Formats: sequence, C-alpha cells, structure tokens
Amino acid sequence: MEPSPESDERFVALLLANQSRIFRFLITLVPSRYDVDDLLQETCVTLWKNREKYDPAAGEFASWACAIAHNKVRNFRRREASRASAQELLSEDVTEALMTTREKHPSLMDEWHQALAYCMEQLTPHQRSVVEECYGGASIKAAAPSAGRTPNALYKALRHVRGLLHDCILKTVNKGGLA
Amino acid sequence: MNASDADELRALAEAYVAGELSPVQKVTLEDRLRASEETRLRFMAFLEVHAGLAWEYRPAGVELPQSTRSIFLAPSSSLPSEMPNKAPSTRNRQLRSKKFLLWALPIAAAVVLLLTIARMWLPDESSSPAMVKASLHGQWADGGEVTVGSLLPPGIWELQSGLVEIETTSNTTLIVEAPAQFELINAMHGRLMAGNVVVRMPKGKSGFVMDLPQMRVTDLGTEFGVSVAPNGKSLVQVYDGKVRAESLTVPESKELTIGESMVSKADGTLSPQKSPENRFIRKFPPRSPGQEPGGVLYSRSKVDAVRIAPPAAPVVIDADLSEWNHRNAFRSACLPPYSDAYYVEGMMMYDAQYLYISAHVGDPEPMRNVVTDTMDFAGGSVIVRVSTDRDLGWPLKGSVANATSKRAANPPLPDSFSDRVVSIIMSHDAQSNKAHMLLNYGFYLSDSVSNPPGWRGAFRKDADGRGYTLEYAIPWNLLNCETDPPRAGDVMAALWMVHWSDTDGRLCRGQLVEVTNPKARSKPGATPSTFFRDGATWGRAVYLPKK
Repeated sequence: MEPSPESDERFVALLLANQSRIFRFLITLVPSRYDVDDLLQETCVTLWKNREKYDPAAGEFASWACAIAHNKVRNFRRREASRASAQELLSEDVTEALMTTREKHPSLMDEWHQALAYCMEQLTPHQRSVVEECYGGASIKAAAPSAGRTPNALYKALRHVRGLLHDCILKTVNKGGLA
Repeated sequence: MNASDADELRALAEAYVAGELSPVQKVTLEDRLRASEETRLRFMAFLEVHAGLAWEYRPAGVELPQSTRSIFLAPSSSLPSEMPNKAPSTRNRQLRSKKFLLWALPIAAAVVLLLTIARMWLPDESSSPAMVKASLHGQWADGGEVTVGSLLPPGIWELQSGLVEIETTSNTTLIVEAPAQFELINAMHGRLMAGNVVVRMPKGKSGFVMDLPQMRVTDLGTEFGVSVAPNGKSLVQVYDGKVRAESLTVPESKELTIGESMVSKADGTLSPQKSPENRFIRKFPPRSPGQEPGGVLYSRSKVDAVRIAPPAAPVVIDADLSEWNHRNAFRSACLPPYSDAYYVEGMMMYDAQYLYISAHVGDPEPMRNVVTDTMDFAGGSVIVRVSTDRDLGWPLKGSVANATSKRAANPPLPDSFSDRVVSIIMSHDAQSNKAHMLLNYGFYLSDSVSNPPGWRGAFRKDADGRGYTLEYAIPWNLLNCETDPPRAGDVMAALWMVHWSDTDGRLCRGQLVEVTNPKARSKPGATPSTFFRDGATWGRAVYLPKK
C-alpha cells in the first residue's frame, strides 16, 4: 500500500527526531565522521525507501533505524575492505560485543548524551572554542591557523578537553544523572 | 579499573577516533574490549563524547527549499514523544534546537528530493549502474572470478588480474586492465585509484567524468584512456574526440584532442606526454579456437620474514644461482590447481656494497613483458619492496592512505615519503631482451627512476620453457643508504609480489603476495593492493651475520 502524505510527514518527523541517535550509533562503529556522514545519508535513504515497513507497534523507531544503520556498516566493511578507513574498524566480534553491551544498557547512551550537554557547560570558553574549532570545520589542520596554533597543539588541546568530558559524563551518570 | 588501565584505555580510544591506532594498539584495544564489559562501557562513553561533539558541531549543509519548510521546520513540540529532547539547561536546549534545524537541512533536503522524484531516481541510481559485459582472466581481489553478466552496484571494485569490459546504464563502455582499483559512483561518474581504464561513450554522447588522484577528466564526446601508476601518477590519453583534464590541486584545465596525453606532476600541474598507441588495451584480444580461458591465479601469504645473509662466495650476476646458499630461500605458490605451475622461490643476500635478489619463478609464459609504461610490472615481474631505514623499524607506519591523508587527526608522516622505502620492480623487457629495473621511492607521488646507473640484472629461461630465473645486484646508493647500509641484526620491512602475464606479455594474468605481517594477513578483506599500499602489512627482512 502506498504511504499517504500524512504518514510520510509523520515518518519524516520521526526521521528528523532520531537523526542524532542514528548518527551517534554509527560513529560508535565507524570512528571517521566523514564516513559516518555518508553512512547516515545511505541509512536515511534506505529508511525512506522502506518507510511502509516500519511498524510502530513492533518497537521504537530508533531501534529499527539503528538495525538498518548496522547493516549499512556491515556493507561498508565489505565494500571498503581495502581502504585505510576500513582497516581502522574494530573486528566484527568486538563490534558485536559492543552492540550487545549497548543493548543491555539501552538508556545509558542517552544518559551520557544528556550529561555531555551538561558537561559542555562546565568547560571554560577557551575549552569550548577548542571543541568548536576542531569539530566545526573540515579538519584540525584547516582550523589550526585561524585558532593561532599548530595542528599538533590544537589536537593536544582537543585530547585534553575530550578527556575532561569523558570523566565528567562518567561521574555525572554514576552519581545518578541529571534528574 | 585502576587509573593506569583507565589512562591506557583512553589513549587507545583517542588513537581509535583519530584513525591512528597502530596494529599493536588495535590488538591491545580489541583484547581489552573482549575481556571486560566495564571496559566496553568506558570505551563507549568515550565514543559518546566524540559522537556527541561531532553531531553538535556538524557543519551546516544545503538550504532547505522554501516550499518544503512547513514539513521540516515543525516545532519540536509536535515531534513524537520518543524524541530525546530533555537537555539539562535552557542554554543547551536553545543551542540544540538551533543546531537541530541547521543539521536537519541536508538530510531533510535529501528526503524532500526523494519525496519529489523517488520513482524516477531510486530504482536506477541506488541499484546497479553497470554490468560486466566481457572478461578475460578477470579476477576480483578476493580471488573470485569475474562473472560476465553480473551487475556492479556503486562502490569500490578491485580487479586483481585480467581484462574486464563494463557497460554502464548510460551505455558508456569501460575496459579495465588489472591490477586496478576503481569506484563506480554512478552511470556517468567513476573514480580510478590504480590501474588502466579505457572509457568509450556512444557516438553523439558526452559527459562521463573520471576522477583520478590528481586530475578530473571529463569526456567531451570521445574515447580516452586513463592510468594511475602505483606511485599515484595520473595520466590521460585521447584516442578519439576531446576531453577536458582539470588538475584537482592547482587551478589548471586543458582540453585534449586525438593523440594528446597529459600527466599530472607531483605539484599537481599538468604536463604533455608522448602518446604510444599501445599504452592501453582498447579491445579484447580475439580468442584462438579451442583456447581455454584458464582459471584464477590466487595466493595466500604464509611467510612472515625473509632471511638475508651475506654471500659465502662472490656473486656473479648471470641468473645462475649455484653460488647462492639456498638455505634461506622461501617458496610461495598460487593455490591449487595452479601451485605447480605458478610459484616463486625467493632469496636475498647483502654485503657492504649491494643488495642481491634472486627468484626462480614458475611461469608457463615466461619473460614476455612488452609493457613499457608505468604499469610495466603487469606484463610479468617480481617486485620487492624494502625499507633501508632502521629508524623506521618494523612494522612500517607509512602508507598511501597516510601520504594522501587530508585529515588533521591523521597527518601525513615522513615514513610515507621516505626515500629509503623503495619498490624494486624487476622485469624482462621482451623487446630489447634485457633485464629492466624501475625504482619507486616512498608510498605516493615520490620519485621514480628507470634503469639507473650501477645496478646489474640477468634473466635465464628454464630449459623446459615453464619458468625463469632472475638475479639482481642493486647498489645501496640506489636505495639511499650507502653511508649506513643494513647490518647484521637489523630487522626492517619487506614485501614480495610476483605478476604473471598472458601469452602476449601485456595483460596481468595473476599475482602473488608474500613476506607479510601475520596480523595483517589474518584480517578479512586484505587484498593485494592492501599489502602494496600499506607498509604496516609488510613482513620482516632479517639481516643475518656472516658465518
């Protein structure tokens, strides 16, 4: 049966609402955000093509979307096997172990994500600017001149900030979260 | 988890997201992730930081068309309740809301496009833009035989051996000559990373685009060949009509017509070249009546290291190996049923002046190489890649991917450009009946020299005509280490590759890779080009003391 305009609109709303989750799921499996951008687009296209198969009664949209995203990663692994970016992927058994852990702790990812927003607020303006420079542009190398640093110095600063944020989200969630 | 373990895990996670995990680090990280759920959770928390930041600060993309804003700019209150929209502060909620819309635009625009033209666009572009029309000894990099009639979806394809004709749904013909790695983007757009491809459009049609590492070639109604050499050098040659060649690194664009060729230089500029008619294979060779197509030649590496000892007696370069000590020889063969006919027995020796290489190669079509261009190895050759810089150690860090990396987190390393990492390509030129040697330095677009002064080489065909022996002496100055040549106790990187040709000495019939890093070859999906392009996959060259 053809999807109606109303159901298409609802589907698009669901897709937009869950983009962040799908993106974060993908980047758990593929560290390069440039590859993840491509995979996200591929996933969205597949979700759209299969929109009539989505059954809200069968489970959360995010679970269905992440299952499709996982398949995209498997295809990516096969397709890009000879490329350096694919060599950086973790072995399939390790990936599966990570997925199992994720399934055992479904709310933890969202709690960390919410904690990250809180932890970002704890950063100094300078530390936030490091994050913005490194993640907001094409590359650290491209961002370094405008930040007045060498790429290496900017990368070291980013490592430091990521470490602070990692500690912060672990502590925040371990304390019982933000609620 | 104690502080030391936590620090190590974070360092590994940092290297992972930066794309800088060494093979050893990768093994360590994977072992730790397998062993403990606590480790997996800490690792995933780190990835959540990386993912969250990458999402929050994702650059904006395209504008959303005005007519569709009503669909995609719906207020968040109208979104389904499962949307995680409970940020801990007003400031972050505002930030997220603004970013949400901004980042939604590219995806939204894509979805809108699909809504509008789904029926006419999706079935063609998302399925298979091309089909295999013909194959001669065609073999994919995973050892699978190329099947005529098979559909090729968009993606990267690696042809290990043979000649394959592909036709896209735009009726463009691509004749791909192995070894080659190429990407089918769509029916009018391809990308060649290595090898030779001839592109032919139907009369009256134009517009096919072929991207090379340093050049974009656009068809203006023609037949043309494009080539990417192992060192990344890109070339286009026009056989009919016109093409436009544009440098991808400097603002330079040229139109070429029949008989013209252009090559990209290391600085990205375009330079005219000679245009030998036979540089590319433009048509399938006619098959003789009763000729068997032959099966695929494929190997699995088993040798970790080549042991290199000083010679016990003076070495005479005459392809007679009677003075060689065969104790350190290794043997490697293609998989059955071809293991008896296609194999290599390799040896290396060294002294203060020279690196010596010898090989006895099982080859039913020996010493027929007639290829004279940068792909000359495909017509039958032995390639030995060595590092002569002990400071680079083993495994090597250099690679083509690193040399061409534009990612700040994975900047090009000196290892990738070292002139002490050398490819020694040894072949027999059937036209001059002489040994030939080509040296390529570094991993990408570095110097190369053909038949430089100082080396000696000899070939000898087996008495039964089913193989040949080669013997080379290469002075250390050609390997850029004459003041500090390898010495006993050194362990550096090395790789061996053998290519077999067809009867005409033109087409790659198959290849073999040997002396490899066992960790690299145990990975699924490793192909010959993986080994060629990534120094971390090479095996060890162990320099032994004199006895």
